[in-house]
Amino acid sequence: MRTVKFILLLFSFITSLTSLAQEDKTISGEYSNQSFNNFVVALEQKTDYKFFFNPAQTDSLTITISFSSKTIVEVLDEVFRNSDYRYSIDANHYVYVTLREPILTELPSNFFSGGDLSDSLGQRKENARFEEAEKVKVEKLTIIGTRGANDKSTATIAGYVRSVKTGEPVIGASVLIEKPLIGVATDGNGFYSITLPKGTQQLRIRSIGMKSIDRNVLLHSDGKMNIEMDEDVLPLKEVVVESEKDERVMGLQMGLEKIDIKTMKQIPVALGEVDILKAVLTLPGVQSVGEATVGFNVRGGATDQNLILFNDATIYNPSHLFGFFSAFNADLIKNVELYKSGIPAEYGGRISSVLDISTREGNKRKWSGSGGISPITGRFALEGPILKDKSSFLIGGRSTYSDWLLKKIPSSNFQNSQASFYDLNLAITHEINSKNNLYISGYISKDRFKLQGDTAYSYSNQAASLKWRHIFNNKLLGTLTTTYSGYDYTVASHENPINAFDLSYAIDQLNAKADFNYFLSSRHTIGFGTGVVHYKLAPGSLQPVGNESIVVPDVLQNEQALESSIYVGDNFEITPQLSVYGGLRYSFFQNRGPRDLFIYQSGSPKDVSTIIDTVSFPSGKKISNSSGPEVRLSARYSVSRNTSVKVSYNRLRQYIQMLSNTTAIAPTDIWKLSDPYIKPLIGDQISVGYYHSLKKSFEVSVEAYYKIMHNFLDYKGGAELILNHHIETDVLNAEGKAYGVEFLLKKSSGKINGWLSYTYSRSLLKTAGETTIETINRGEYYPSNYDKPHAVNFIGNYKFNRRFSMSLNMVYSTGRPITLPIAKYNLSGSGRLLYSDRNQYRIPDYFRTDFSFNVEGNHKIKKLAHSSWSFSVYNLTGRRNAYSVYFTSEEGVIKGYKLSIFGSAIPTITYNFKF
Amino acid sequence: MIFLTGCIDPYLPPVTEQQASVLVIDGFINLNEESTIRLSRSQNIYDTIAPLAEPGAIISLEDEAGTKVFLTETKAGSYVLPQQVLSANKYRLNIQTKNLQQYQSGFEPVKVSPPIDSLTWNLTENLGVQVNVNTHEFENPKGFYRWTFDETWQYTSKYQSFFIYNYDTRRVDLRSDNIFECYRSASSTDILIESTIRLSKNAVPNFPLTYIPNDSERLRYTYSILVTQYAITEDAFSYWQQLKKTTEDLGTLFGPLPSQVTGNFQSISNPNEPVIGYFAIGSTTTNRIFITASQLQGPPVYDTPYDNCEASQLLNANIPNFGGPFLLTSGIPNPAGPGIIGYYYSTPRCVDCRETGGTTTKPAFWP
Repeated sequence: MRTVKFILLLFSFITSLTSLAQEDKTISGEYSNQSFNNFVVALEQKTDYKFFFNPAQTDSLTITISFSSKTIVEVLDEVFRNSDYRYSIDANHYVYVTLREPILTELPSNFFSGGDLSDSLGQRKENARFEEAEKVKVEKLTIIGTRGANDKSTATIAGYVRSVKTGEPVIGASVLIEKPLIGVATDGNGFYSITLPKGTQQLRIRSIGMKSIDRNVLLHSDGKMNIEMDEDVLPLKEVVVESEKDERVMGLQMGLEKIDIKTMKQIPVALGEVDILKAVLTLPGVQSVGEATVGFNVRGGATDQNLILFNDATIYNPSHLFGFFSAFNADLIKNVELYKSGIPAEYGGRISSVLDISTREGNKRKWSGSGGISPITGRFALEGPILKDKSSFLIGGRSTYSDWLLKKIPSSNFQNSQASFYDLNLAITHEINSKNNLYISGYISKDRFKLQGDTAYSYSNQAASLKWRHIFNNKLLGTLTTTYSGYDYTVASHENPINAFDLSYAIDQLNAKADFNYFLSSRHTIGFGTGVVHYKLAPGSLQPVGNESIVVPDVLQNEQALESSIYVGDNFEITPQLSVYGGLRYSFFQNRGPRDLFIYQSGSPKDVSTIIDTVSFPSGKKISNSSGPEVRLSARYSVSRNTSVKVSYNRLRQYIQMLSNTTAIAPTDIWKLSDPYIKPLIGDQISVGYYHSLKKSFEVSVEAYYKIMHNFLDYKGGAELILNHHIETDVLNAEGKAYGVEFLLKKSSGKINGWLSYTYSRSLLKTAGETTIETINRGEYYPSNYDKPHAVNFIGNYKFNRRFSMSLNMVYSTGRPITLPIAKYNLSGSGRLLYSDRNQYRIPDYFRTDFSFNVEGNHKIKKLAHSSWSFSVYNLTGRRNAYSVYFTSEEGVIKGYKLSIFGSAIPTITYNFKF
Repeated sequence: MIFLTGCIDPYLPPVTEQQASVLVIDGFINLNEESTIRLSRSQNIYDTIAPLAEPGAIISLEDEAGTKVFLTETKAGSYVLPQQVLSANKYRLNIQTKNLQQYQSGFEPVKVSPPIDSLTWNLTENLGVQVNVNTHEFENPKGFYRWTFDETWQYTSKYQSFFIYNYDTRRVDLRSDNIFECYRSASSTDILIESTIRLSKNAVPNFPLTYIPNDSERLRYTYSILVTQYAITEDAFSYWQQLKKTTEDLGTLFGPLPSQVTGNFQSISNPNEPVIGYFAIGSTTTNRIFITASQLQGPPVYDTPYDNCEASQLLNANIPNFGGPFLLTSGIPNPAGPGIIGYYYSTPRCVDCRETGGTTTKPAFWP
């Protein structure tokens, strides 16, 4: 391509041996702080001139000019006066803008006289390669600030790193100088701020999947520099497992796992749908109770202890179709970050982990779309500019075709069942000006299913967020975020008109927060902020349906609460070897009226029979408070360039807990706010880690942790959780502890890449109430439902070439604990079972192998649509892994059964396209 | 393209260590009739023998004033209290086993069951029969009920036997007794309970008791069901509900976690020793209905235990040599003229209806 262009260019040189005089057409206009790109677009519209320039050379150029009735030459002379930019115009009205040296639009005068032109043409050729960002470094001097503006020895440069092609921010790109070594990474919006010694510096910008850029910068004082990076035309060559290879070793953060969408797409999946949560489950320290459960357990924490953020809004039920799919459309996801330890102070509200999911920004330059078809689902996404280079949108949807999946399950229970779901996403970004950006995101997911006949379940998540990002100056960046999260479910039973009912439940959550980043110096980055969350729960409402129904309406009182927080944290690089992070978050929770509260006789177990009074709280009146500091500390010491040791401690507080009597997140699970009887969960975790990078992009790491959880909710045997007006009588306060070691060997790039991890972990609970009813297993520690001591994960990818690749995924874990029957007896002519102490036995060990083969379409850059095929086999060995083991009394005879969700190998074909 | 096979396989857990067997107390003091309390021991789940009865215990029924009535052991593990007038409001049960361990229930109120309003049945979409019970008791705001039922149905064997082979004379005689038409009974095994706390009045509308598939042998001729209704306390309801949850509702995707369910007995001698059973006292009410095949739309084929029955032929010439565990059924008509050329015969299981568990005696209540 490039050669052809060059020849054409040469041809134009020849046909314009004599440069024609410029036309005298005049133009007028007024431009203020416009990017060069916008300015050029405007000129191209007003004239028949076409501009050619290297965006990498002009991205820091802003134009402020006002002119009337000027020729293009006059305008350009004015624009480029006193700058290093040069321009030239050829006979076709092509304007070439270059740095320092103008393009020759004519051949040298001695071209035909046998003079030595190799020198001059060779030189020109170099300058002519301006149409695309150079694959190699661009040597260019950018002058930032004004000479002698102040007496300081350092100055700060800040700006955004964006993709040339789509205008999307490049996240996690390193911006650094080597001597002395100072480096920062771009944040989730592509923003960076780096403080450097004044003078000439070579700034290196690196991001995998992007062409590397080196910039020569002459730094006089603080200034702004946006950088545009071009996508590596052959991005498939490198398989991105982490955005930055050395981050695990050199970064301060520990216990952070990042997965980008490219990695997720390689992991073989059941039913052909790229699944964020299934990808998260392949990481060390993350477990689930079994297949078809979306809730996940991080380092021995319960499923409700994970803060799942989708564009900053909390998601309560991240699953579709009782857990077969996660509720996020992978086509729209930019990246996923899971914090397992060392959680920064800006996060709070759940004690185990933070799963931060963000969607991509739409393409700001051109329209494009993508989609896919698998046996179960179809999805489609469309994106494009609203205002070119200023704002964009991204919209996507996903749905199942039909209920036929359930019909295929050879169980009569499923034959009469139906299930459907959909989810919709919208993301809008708008650049108000260079200092202000606006992000709007909306999300809705809905599920409906009917199992075993007459009861229909439906649930829905809604989330919306509005984020305004403002750059005060190069050192201070602020973000104002408001979000709404909603979750509700309905259980409807309409078959028998006499007791037809609807049972519904809802949570509404409103958040507002302000976060600031202050880049004090190259050694201190300070984050601080404040936030408030308003919860409103409608914890259950039973309503009769139809005139015949004699069901009595039963509505539990609404609960409302306010959770406020304030935090500050400092990332301090003491020496290049030693970095520390210290953060403090203070959260304050207030449960408020209106509500009637039962008062129980003190000293006796809480029971309906021990209620001695009912106190009414009016609207807005405080019912109970809870508050406390949450300390977050971490430190990294680099033993050598390739080796580091990290340690962290964090405390988190959680004021809303899920009540579930089942092992996984079920659609009828309810969430309960802390109140005078339900104390907030408090989690403390200390962890240490060792990280070492080896040759050939191998790295090894070991992380160990110890965790204590206070006020864990547990249930009395056979507790009634639904429509319970006095839930405090059925729950117990447990103490939990968890500990473990995670070993990881990872190869992040190359033809073969992937990881192997082994985790040893335990998760134990202790419930020692005052009476025997409130005590489980005599008050001794017992394994939690998701205590799986040994877990091995292997993910291997092999690339045959740029079009064909395969992946193999192997998972082993100890079976989860269960309560087994230890004896049988006969009561009223029917066999019954006597169960053991809670969780004293285990289901059989879990083992699964998955395989996938991916075929990319051809790699022509310009074609109508890019397509790819993915063939995968889930559970290749067809092992019938137990989901649960249970015993039932059937016509008086006790029978034991093992329930497996996937009882055989499941092959799937998925077709994906992108245009 | 996709073969989704979620599946359920039989599962035998690794043998759990034998615990000391637990005392199981089963029974109900019925004010209307003679009552039996049965004591037995729990077994290892793989035991195939019948539950071991617990003989030699001393059981007494005690009212709040301390007055005791003793039960008498009529056979091993069965302790009987003849019907008697009980005037106190609350009673408890005291048990001392032969190894001198003492057990005691809590005081339980005497619960009188309201009458059963009706037993109804309807045809479902699949032409099966759904039997429902209706009751109410408006004097009490909240009602908790438990039901048990006994089914009886008429059925026939595969082949009717008109002849009998006389091994003494080596000849065929006419059969005079009925071994073709039988009656069989079965008791409910599932826990059937309902509460009216979610309803505006203490009335149970159409509580489903049992479902009989369209092709069930039970519906072939005449079917009868006798339902016994118990009024129970809220605590007893929650005991039965937990027992039901832990043994009948498990294993679904959203099934609850099982837990130890024991009841309202306590060991006095060793408070940590589990003991199983729920003591209740009161009166019951009953109701019986009949359903006949003429009220139903029968299936093309009934599901009977006789699917692989076959009849063989015994020709007249071979009659003296006939032997083996077979029963004659009917004669083989002579295709050429009057008379028979021999007899059909089959196995007793296909001919004698008593072989599948029934009795030829017509129950007293049968119309």
